Amino acid sequence: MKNFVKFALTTCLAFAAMPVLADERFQGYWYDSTGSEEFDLSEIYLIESLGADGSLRGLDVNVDRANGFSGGHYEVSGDRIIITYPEDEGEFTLTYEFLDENRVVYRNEEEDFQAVFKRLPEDAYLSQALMRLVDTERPLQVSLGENPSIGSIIALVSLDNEEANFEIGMDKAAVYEGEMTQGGDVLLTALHDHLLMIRTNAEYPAEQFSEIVELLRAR
Amino acid sequence: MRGLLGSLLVWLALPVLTAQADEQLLGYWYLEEGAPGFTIDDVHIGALYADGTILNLSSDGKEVSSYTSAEYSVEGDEITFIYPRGSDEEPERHPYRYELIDSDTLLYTDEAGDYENPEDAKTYYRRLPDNAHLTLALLGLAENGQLEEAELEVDSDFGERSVLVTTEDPFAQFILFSDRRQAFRGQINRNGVPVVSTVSRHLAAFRLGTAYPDEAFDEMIMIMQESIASAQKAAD
Repeated sequence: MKNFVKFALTTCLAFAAMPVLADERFQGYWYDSTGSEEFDLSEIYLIESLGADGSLRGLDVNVDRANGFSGGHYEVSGDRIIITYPEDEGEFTLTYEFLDENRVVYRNEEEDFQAVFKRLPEDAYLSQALMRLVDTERPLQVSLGENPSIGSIIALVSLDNEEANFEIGMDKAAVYEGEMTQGGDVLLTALHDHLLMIRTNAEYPAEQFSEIVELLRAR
Repeated sequence: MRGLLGSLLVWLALPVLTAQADEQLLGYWYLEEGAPGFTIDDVHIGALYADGTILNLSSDGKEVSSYTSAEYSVEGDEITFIYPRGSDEEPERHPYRYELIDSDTLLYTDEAGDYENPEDAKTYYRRLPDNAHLTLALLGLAENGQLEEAELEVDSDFGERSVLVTTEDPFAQFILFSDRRQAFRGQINRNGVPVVSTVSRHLAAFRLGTAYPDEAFDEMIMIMQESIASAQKAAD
């Protein structure tokens, strides 16, 4: 159902905004599976967000650090895709081939380059949340760690070039529920079953924190 | 130990007392040094119980520790602190004259000592305020033999103070967040079991480690809540 809604939504967006952009199969979150066959945030180094309008944003991951970027774009024409990364990090003209709707191979035969990108799994809850933050195009820095009390994986998130302002914890094996407030402001809240969000930095304005909670909670 | 706490509450409630006599002496007293007003950052607290036992809670701004060192007995306006020594030695006895200046201020005067300045013979203790929830919680844990270690952090992420508490069970750790300016409310459950709980309006507990038995955390929360509630009751 969720997939259907998402599919329907992206399809609508594609038709409404940019019918020229041919192949809506590209839209969504993809990770470079070169480092890791199965999705594992600590093993991979790139997740991309391909927008219906040809925008390209992403998350560079380096073991326990991740940084968001935006301002790239992509263009599909025939069996070719031109990917332009922001800040002069290069323009790549590649051929593409969909192995199925969740896997695409990019190749540059001249340079003997090949990479398989896979669709970010729906149950990669933490990464899905981080990619939603990437899509806001606000400066994003993340440090990743483990905290068995809160979740198996924990992301300490800094938005807008500020100090770390909140944490997102994920535990796929557990079900979280509830909320704790301090002076009426949300301090901790279960985003959904497997994600917990914590306003780590008391200086971080409660309204901004709540906005982000709403953003990440929205389906 | 728990029995002792239970009977303490009864002692406080009943006017019938032993030879310890002055029930106004009972309760939690802190040594007022430096700026007036209570904080847990640098403080010594003596808890006087009806059965003549004393529990101490000390903080140096980094660690809060509890210990028992003495007992006391009262006769007239004299209080004697009795420090046990080796089994074949007589305990040390330190008598002071005490005076309740008001219901919240206790003055000890060392009349036996030789002081150039008579003011130096005086020590003032203030009654622990009933909104010192963090301290009351720690006292409750100590009274129940559960306060193994408590590391204090000032200006923590979730409040004015936080304390990392290690109980008797080494797997049983939790963080207490204290904020007297605003109220905590709510709870976070993990698989139906609390991991973050509101202890009182000024105190939240954050359980650490999944090896921590669920019931043990519940029990600690209850101990702390009882301690805070009984101080409230005594004040009302």
